[in-house]
Amino acid sequence: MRTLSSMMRRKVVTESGRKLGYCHDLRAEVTDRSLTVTALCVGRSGFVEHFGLRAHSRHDEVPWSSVVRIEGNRIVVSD
Amino acid sequence: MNKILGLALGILAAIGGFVDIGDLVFNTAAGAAFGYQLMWVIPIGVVGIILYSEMCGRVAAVSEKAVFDAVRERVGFKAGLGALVSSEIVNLMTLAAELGGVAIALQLLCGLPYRWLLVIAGLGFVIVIWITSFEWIERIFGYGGLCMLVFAVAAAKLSPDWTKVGHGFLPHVSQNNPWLYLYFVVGLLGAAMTPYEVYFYSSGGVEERWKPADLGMNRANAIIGYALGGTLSIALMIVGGAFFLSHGISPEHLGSIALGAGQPLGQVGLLLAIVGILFAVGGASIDTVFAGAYNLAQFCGWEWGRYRHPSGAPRFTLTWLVLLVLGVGIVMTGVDPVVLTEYAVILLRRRVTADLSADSACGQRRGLYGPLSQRPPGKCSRSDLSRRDHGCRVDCDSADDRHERRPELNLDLGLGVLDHQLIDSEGRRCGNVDDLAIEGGPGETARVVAILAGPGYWGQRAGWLGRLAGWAGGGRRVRIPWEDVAEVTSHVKLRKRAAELGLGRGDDRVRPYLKKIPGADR
Repeated sequence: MRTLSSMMRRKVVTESGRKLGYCHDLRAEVTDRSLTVTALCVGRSGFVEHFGLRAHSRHDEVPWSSVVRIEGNRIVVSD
Repeated sequence: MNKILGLALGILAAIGGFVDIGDLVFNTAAGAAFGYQLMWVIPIGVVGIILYSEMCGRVAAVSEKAVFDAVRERVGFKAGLGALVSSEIVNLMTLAAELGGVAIALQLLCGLPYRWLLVIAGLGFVIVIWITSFEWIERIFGYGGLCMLVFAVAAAKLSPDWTKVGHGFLPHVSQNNPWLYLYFVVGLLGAAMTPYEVYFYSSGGVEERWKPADLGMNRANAIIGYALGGTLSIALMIVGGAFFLSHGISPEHLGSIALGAGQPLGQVGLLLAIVGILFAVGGASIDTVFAGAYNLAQFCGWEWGRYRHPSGAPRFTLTWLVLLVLGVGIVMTGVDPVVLTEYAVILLRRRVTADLSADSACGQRRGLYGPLSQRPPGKCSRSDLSRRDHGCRVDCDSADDRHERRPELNLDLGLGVLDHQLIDSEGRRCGNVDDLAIEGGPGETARVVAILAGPGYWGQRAGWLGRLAGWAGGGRRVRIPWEDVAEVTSHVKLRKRAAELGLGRGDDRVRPYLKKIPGADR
């Protein structure tokens, strides 16, 4: 089992080593009685959203299905 | 008619309650040191506190969130904890200074020893808060504080050079001792923009259940009340310039400030000034002690409220009792309340900046008004806005809805769920969402399976500081299955009672002790 706090502020990198930024939030889909994680919100815009300065755009989302592994302080996603 | 009366009473109380020991000390001392040259800082400070209060009141009306709810949600647990610690330190310093001011005013009236009067003042506040309804506390101290208007009369009677007063409103830098001048600029801004007033104001808005329809009232209260209150600050500076500066007196003692009204108006003026200071500083003491209790309770997710009977919000009540004891204890050490005020006011400038950033973030965010992307299409009616529902229902209760395929909704977990207040099925505040448990790793479907609540989870949010705070909070951990969540709005509403889920135990433990004190259930 993971916690939301353990996922946030991890570095997000692709398998080829490209840095995408830090994970600032997890986006989830609400269905009847469940909350399914669909994407990682990454990059600077994910951070400034907390201060009401800019909303997420689709470009700042990395689908959860792209997550390959979680190791150390990094989340590795497919290219 | 009732609304107009309410507004008028609110404004009167705001005028009487505007001036606290910081305003008294800094406005008079600035006048005594630089005459009317610093007059321009007062309107800036007043505009600042109007904007700050109006914004926090608006956030309270629209989202049902007080300042520290918003601080924790926006800046995160770690920064929020830092903000809480610093605000509680500054609050305690301010409270100690205000209590010292009350004791000095009492000493001027009756001549008893200062330390005795401190204890009497502390006990008096406990009794007044315990037995009197908050409406009456507000009226007594607000209307008593109107005696401070004697300084406005004194300012007029001292016949200042009005041309110089007018020139003082034009911003400029003094060539004579610029560092002291800058110190007073910072001090005057800090004295006008005291965060405890705003904590108190926004928490009151939540308690009085302000709605978006009350935004006009909120604006009028903030603008008229603070602007008229600001005229008292101007009067104090005029008295400082026209009386203290021209006589070469430095008003280093709180009692000497009253002389500014006594000289032009005689004994009646002096008496009214001392009584005005007593009520103004006394009212500020109560605001400050409540502000400290609000902040802690809101950050920790405890039940809170000044309109509740003491046993209705046990840990909140215990907090303000402890703060009062600590405040009295600090001044009993012999520290000068005026010096304490100066330190507190200068530190306040830093606190305001931190809170403003969090609350403006809260105010700006469209989420508070309900981003449509997070709402079920069928539930996006205007009436939803009045429910302040910026989240979404997690399930449907009606049979029809159960068979209907619900549309899929998006929710940012950190922004929309984490650090939100937990409310049980009976409407009781019973904790915060301290973390979320997620099951499913890479290549699998990841689902939120539980809410994690309690100080035991603070360590994983804020390192050693969180572990320390968690240890101080008892280290309790409660896991609430996501199935028990009824609704995610500006709060997370649960299907069960707090006791069934193991939440709110701290309040339940303290309550029996408080109930032994007469009047705890009034």
